[in-house]
Amino acid sequence: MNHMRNALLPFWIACTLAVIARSLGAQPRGPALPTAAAMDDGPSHLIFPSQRLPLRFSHARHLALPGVTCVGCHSAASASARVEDNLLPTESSCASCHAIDRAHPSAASTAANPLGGCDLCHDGWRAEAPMRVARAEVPAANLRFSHARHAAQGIVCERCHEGVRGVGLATRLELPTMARCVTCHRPGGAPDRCTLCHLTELDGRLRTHFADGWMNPPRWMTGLHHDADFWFTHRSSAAQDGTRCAVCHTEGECAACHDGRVRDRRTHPNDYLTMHVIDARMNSDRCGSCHRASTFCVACHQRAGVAASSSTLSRAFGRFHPPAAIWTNAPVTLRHHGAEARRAMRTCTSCHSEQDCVTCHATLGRGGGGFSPHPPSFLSRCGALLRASERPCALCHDDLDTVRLRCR
Amino acid sequence: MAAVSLTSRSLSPVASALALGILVSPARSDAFDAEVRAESTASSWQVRGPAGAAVLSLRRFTQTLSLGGTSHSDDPHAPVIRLRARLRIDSDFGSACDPGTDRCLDELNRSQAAEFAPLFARRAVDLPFAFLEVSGLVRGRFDLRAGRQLVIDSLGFFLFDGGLARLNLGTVASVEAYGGWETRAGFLLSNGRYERDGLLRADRTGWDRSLATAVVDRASASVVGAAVDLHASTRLDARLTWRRIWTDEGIAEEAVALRTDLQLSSAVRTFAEAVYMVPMATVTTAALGVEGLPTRGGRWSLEVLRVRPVFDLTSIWASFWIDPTDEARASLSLPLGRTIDLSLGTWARRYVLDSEVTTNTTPSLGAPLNAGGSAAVRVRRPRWDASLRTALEGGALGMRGNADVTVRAWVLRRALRIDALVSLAHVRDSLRAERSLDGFGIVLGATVPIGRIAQVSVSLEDDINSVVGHRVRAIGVLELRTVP
Repeated sequence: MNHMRNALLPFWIACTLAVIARSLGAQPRGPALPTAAAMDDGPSHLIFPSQRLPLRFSHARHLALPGVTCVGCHSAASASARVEDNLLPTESSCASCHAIDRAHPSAASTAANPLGGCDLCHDGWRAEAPMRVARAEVPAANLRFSHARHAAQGIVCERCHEGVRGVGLATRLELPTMARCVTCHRPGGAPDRCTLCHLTELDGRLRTHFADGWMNPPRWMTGLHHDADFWFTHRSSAAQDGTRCAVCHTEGECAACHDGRVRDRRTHPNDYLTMHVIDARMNSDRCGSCHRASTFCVACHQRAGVAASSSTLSRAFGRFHPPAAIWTNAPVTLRHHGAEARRAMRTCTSCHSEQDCVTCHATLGRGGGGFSPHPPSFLSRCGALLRASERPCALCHDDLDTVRLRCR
Repeated sequence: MAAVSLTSRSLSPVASALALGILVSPARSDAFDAEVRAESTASSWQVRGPAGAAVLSLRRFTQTLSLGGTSHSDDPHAPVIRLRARLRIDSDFGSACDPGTDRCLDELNRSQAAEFAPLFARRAVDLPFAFLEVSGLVRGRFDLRAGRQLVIDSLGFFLFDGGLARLNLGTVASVEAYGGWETRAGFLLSNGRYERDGLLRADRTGWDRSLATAVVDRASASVVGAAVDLHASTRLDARLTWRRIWTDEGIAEEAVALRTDLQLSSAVRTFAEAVYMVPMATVTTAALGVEGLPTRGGRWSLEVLRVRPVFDLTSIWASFWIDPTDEARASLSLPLGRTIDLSLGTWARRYVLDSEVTTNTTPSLGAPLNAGGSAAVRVRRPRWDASLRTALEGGALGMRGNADVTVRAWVLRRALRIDALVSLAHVRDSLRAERSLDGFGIVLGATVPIGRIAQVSVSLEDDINSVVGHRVRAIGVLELRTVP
């Protein structure tokens, strides 16, 4: 009972800390927000697909004119509630200033009518085919967005479309980035849940796969940087906060790799079956993040005839370990099995069962060789291990009463 | 009694999920979207032992079926119900032949069962997870989950059958508690993938125990766990977690872990992690790292880590002399334009073989060192991507180096995707220098999407190296899924 109470102590301490933090009015949770413009890589090509704008236009020149406003031309913007809405100005909104003469479409801009010619705005217009102009293509953003809702909040256009007053033709570059959105949509400000803007799958996760590729977190979201090495470093992010991973990923995605349905070649490239031996020796704990040595590794090693527990038939194909003179006999060197076991015990369990070790390491009374596998400091903590489970002790020691006495 | 226990254990995730569903189902449900995904994988390959003999010609068929459902409501305060399940079936076929005697071990021949450990079940059917989750109860304060579920944190992957409740204290913190039975090998619809290493458990019913001494009987294990997630500000994230697993034979695991993530500025963050095994009175993992985001782009990180392997406390390995391994890692990631990434990494690993006081019978072995580095370049374009990754590590344990080039391209207006991988490798093992080798491998693959609901892919892998000669592997995958 005391043991249980001691084990729960950290839990209660953490609960208390949580309540204290709350009572101190700590800031709500959210991503680490960007503060430097240089942290921004520009509008995402996945969110705002490439556009085709065969037009000539100067926002700078128009907005410098008295009385010209954004909504004067983009009249549908302030009422738009969907990203699919076409917010490009129509010809009629241009015609309020430009003397466009559809009766004489072949007329280019002239000194007499400097602002009325088709070629003034339509890049690539040719007099030989005056009624044919290239179509502007502005694909809908892969987002949920309402201009109307933002306009109703009194948010001016340039708050999001930064720099548009100084450019000629406005392109994707004048569309907002997420770093700009979160200046308002942040903890304590406008709603900041991801699904407010991002498209979702059926189960509520963010949609991350688009025609042009996979959407990754922006680089200013530290700890979630999906760079070229993320495949090898994502453990750190997952261990910290699985709920952040779950915004985009399901348990099935974890299981698809960690279950080992198909060997992933990003982790295990070609010829890994041969090379894994040295990898396992160098860093067996890394293998352990996906593979359980006592089942996954053993199963294959038994079949390949490597394991001590392999069938008699498949085991008759040579010795896996170095010669006994090096591997088993004194002196203990780096190539001795004792050193190898101390360094990478997990690799031992990928072939050997307890019985293989008990044969020599059990006490003489148990029929073993009496070679102790315990570290020098073992006596100082064997009591706790004994209280946890007597089973392993009983496998090697014939006199458990003596063990209990020594470990008390 | 054993049969009763087995049945009740197998049904427990389903029963508890159903009960939870009935209890917490909202009176009005506006919509429930369902999702189905199935993957059928067939592969065939050959394996030779490290001595070059013992050819195994194996064939494996793996089928997974994932089911998902999510409720949708117009009421933003309504709880969300999620159902998630995945079923997996593995079937192995093939034989292991001894070229010297022309004898083969037919793995499907039960009459030759004496040649095989019980682990080789003819058909392994398991349920990797199956749970029902209701989140957002009591105006977002409570989340409940019942069934077979994963917990992923500093204590690693953990799979159990039971219930988990989470209390959300605003956006500042959440408290989590769970309990049930660990999902272990040997039970119906179970697997031992996420058990602690140490014991090979199986259902030995019907097998000759004297022929499978490496295997121990299955044992049901109870588990309780708790965790506190603290988000004390936009700068601090922390998770403190505790878990205890026990069987009739004692405590198999009891551990406490703390993981913190502190944002020092918008460009620098630090993180730390520690795992403490209570009965062993030992810190088994300790890590400290710092990550930076220079304003000119890219990312760098430094991390130091100490790991001491841990085992099931009911196995003998937990009492053995085990030394820790220290590792220091540095990495740098640089975007070389909008579509090109470069990542560089270097590390040094020290095997602390003198962690205990040495004696005449256990002389000091020092702290042998291995060090290495890696470089990766990735190019991502809308219609193709390519990557090159190289790694080299060498030192007291030998050397390993490899280079892999991967190319993936969509052709025929995205009707066909071509994959190719070319690899070079060199391995030198200080333990068995005669098994050092050079290897060359190539993979060619093709994927054909069939509408939005299916995808077929095939790949052929061919490896050549000086130890096992020529090895071929063929894989075919069919994926089916529902679409929105």
